[in-house]
Amino acid sequence: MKISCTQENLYRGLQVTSHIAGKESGLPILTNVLLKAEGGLITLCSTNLEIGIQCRVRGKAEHDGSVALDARITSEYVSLLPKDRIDIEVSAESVASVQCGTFSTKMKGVVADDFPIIPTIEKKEQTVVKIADIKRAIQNVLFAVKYDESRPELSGVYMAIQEANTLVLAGTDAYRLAELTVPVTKNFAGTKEVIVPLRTLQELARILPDVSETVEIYIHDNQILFCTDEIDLISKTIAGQYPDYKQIIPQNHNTKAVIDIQELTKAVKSSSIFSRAGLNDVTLQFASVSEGKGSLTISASNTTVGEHTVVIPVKMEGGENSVVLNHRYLLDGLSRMQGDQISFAAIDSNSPCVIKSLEDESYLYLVMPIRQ
Amino acid sequence: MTPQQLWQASLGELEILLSKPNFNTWFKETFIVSHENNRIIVAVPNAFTKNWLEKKYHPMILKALRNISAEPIKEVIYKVETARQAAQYGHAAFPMPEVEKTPMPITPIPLPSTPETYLSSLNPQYTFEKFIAGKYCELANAAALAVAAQPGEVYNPLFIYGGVGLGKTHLLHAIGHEVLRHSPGKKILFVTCEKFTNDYIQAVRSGKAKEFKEVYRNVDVLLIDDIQFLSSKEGTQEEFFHTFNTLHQTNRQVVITSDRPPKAIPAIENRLLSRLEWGMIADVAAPDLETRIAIVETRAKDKNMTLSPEILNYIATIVHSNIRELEGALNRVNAHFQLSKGGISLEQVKQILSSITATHAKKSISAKQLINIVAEFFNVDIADLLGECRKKELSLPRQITMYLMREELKSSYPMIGSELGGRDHTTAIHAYNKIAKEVEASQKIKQDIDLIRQRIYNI
Repeated sequence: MKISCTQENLYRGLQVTSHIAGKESGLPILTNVLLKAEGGLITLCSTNLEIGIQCRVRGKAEHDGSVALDARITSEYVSLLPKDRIDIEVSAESVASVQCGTFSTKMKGVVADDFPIIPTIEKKEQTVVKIADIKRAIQNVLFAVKYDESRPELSGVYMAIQEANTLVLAGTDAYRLAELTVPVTKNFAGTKEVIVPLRTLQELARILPDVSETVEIYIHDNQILFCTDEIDLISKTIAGQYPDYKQIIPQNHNTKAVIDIQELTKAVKSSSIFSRAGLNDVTLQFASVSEGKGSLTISASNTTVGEHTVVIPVKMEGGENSVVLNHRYLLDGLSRMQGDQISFAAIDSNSPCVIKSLEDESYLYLVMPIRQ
Repeated sequence: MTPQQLWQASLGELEILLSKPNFNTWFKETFIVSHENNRIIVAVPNAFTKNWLEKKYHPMILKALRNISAEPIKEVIYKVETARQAAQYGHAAFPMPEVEKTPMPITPIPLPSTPETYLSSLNPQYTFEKFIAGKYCELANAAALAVAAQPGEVYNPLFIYGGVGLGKTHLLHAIGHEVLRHSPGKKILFVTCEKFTNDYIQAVRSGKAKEFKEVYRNVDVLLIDDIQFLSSKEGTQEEFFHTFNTLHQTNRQVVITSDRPPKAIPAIENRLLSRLEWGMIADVAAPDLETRIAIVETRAKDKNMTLSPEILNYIATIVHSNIRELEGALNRVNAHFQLSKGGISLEQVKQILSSITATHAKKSISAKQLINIVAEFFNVDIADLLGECRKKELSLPRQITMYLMREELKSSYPMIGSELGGRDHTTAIHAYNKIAKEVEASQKIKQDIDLIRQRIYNI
């Protein structure tokens, strides 16, 4: 095997692939990345047997062949090479001779035969989404998901392709729930629902480039494939039925307030200092002042530190109300809201509160109060 | 042969051919979904495994299956199946219900755990009915029964001690069950010493000492397992001391187990020690052969195995000091018994259990090691132990060494004599007889010897 490419291209490929290689696996070959030259194309592959990543590296492949190289060592080494042309030649004994500027290196590799085959699925029923959109969805939903062995279906992110040319991502840890709807630029005529493992989406967000391109999504046979020009990421999906979370989104409310995000964030942060450790409780009390106007009192008290109260004016409809929330959960949601103002809807002290941005209807955040 | 058995047997064959990481990675969570018309469908957990088995191991798998199956096999197909889907094929022990679209279980954030959660932590397997009381634990069993019949009134506290795997925990659970059977309203709390410690630390850390006290001081029967772990944890000891006093004063039962008598637990405060010795101390010793046979027989019956008396006898003979190991041996035989659909011969049993007999043989130690252990136990120099001095502090350990060499290593008397500094064989005979008599007569010497034995086995 003989290939040539630039240091930047090879390093980018290694950054994409080497991260999942060699973590918590029983099979030694999985600590490697597979460098493959085939039909003029250079590819890097890695897998942890749940996720498989292939990255095409721009360059010239003179002779076909393949070799498995230790992922950590290779990426560390390539990062230190000068930004120059790299020539790699692999001998029959799987020793890679690397020439880059004045650097010349011989790296011991492993025969590629034992490297797992990355599965593929048929590229039909295509959905295309902007990278910026899917990244935003991942950022706004993943934080609400917690890995839970006893409930595998809740340990992933619910992903639904809808006929209305939208893609919905939702995640929950049973205490709060985040849902974001993003537009789809191209869709097949149909709908699909899957549960994607947390790790897969974390990895996807990490490797997708920041440029304004699109990513293709294919779902088949318990697998999901994400493709860009340069990267293919395939992963298994989580079997099972995602709970019908729409049912718990309250349709009515007793109190609905419009609150300035910055003001609320500051008030909650200052109260959080006085909340009880481990419980993280802050109390939100809504009182009406006159027609359409009200006040929101945020308070917390702790026997060892002291107590604290802030009052902020709000636009409000409905009656008085009081909820106790975990300030972390509340701030997690607030920090991801677009625009300046949110609407906060509550029923009573034991029902979920709904938080939405006034400017952006696509994002919904639901948080459960602490039971008193 | 059922598909499961066929697959298990084939895996056994493949395991030998492949490296361990390869085998574990590629054959984990695989099973046969169907076996019809000479066609086998193998379920695999993911697409990676499917590809790999198809491309790499297919010939090997086919060969293994053909070797084992009585019927011809034409084709093997691999299919990605998760455990959940597998349930539909009746692979799981009981069919799982279909997952319905249930409303989301957003539960309100639970406040820190309440005591009720571990009130029912008793293992249903551990009852008095299942406890086989031989001569070795008559006292402990009788005391436990008495305590269970009248908690808090007869022996309080009841302290049960004995070696690993002899049934202490079983007795503890059994008391809990029996009390609940008589008076279902009673609050029984079974905790390991470790849980008690952790709860206490947690309570101190989160300022919930009051809740902790409420939990532990409001039970009718407190069952604590493996109390020896309290050693050198002063804060926890004190808390336990107060808990104990509160319960004891209001005539509520405390039952404690340990792997050694109270006096032998290191770094434990005197006031606690005296309280542990207050009620009844009962020991559980290693069962004798007859009891072991009885245990094997009962357990075999529980598992619906019909084994010949020779086999029962053999199993009971090779495992002597630990009932848990005994059940382990029986479980192994059971696995083969299930596979072979009945009939299993003594020869096969010997084969299956060869690893146990092998490890026992490995455990046998040299005379030098034994001398070291005894010297260390009595804290004397080896040179003195082997020397001429006949002070009592030295002569007793010396005689115990000779006794143990005879008992454990089966050395000849002349051999014992020469190992211990060139003594005459008659000295060895005398020492053996003397200690053998003392063991019968003195509890102290018996305990010492048991402790040394444990050290020997634990090498």
